[in-house]
Amino acid sequence: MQPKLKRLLVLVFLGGLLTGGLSGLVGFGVGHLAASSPEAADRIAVFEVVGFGVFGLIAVGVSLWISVYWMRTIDEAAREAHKAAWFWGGSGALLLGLPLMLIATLPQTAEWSLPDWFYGRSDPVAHAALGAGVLLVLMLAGYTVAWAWWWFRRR
Amino acid sequence: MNNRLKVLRAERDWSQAHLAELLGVSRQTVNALETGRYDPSLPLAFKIARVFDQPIESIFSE
Repeated sequence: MQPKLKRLLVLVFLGGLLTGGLSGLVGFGVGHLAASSPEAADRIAVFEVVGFGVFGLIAVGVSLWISVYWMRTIDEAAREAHKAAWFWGGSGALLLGLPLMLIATLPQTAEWSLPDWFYGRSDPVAHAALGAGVLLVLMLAGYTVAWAWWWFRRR
Repeated sequence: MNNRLKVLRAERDWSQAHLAELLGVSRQTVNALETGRYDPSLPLAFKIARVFDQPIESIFSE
């Protein structure tokens, strides 16, 4: 493995530990504050939503930066493998959502209930997040399979 | 596309890892090139030609 990639992996690992640790501390502090008084819980509720949104955006930015660095560092064959995995695996798996959407247009499905896999919740926001999560998992699985297949064919 | 990478490498008694280092690619990429299952880009093909000190057309053929 190239030294640049090794450095990046170490950086990602340490960054993940640091972010996890800080998130745990902040979560503990906020949870403690919210549990101590209902008024405080009400006051910080909006900041929790904004905080999660900002954290999510920062996470997306950092992930993109890591991805760009990664793609620029790996060699051309590895890059081709990722491109093929994105196109065939990612997009192919994304298409699996199409039959689900078609089925959802039928009135017969109006009474169906979705599993409460999103923190035991069954509200519309949880269902939207569940749908996004399912597609994400499908795409990641498709990506991984296509990436492994690309290298398997060229072993 | 066919190539003589494996022969040229064997003539020099180089390992795949050594050739990969010279080309700045991974050993897996060298293996994929040698088995003819991956065609290199033009810049990489030129680099290969430079490393073996041979014209591209003597290394790669249709």
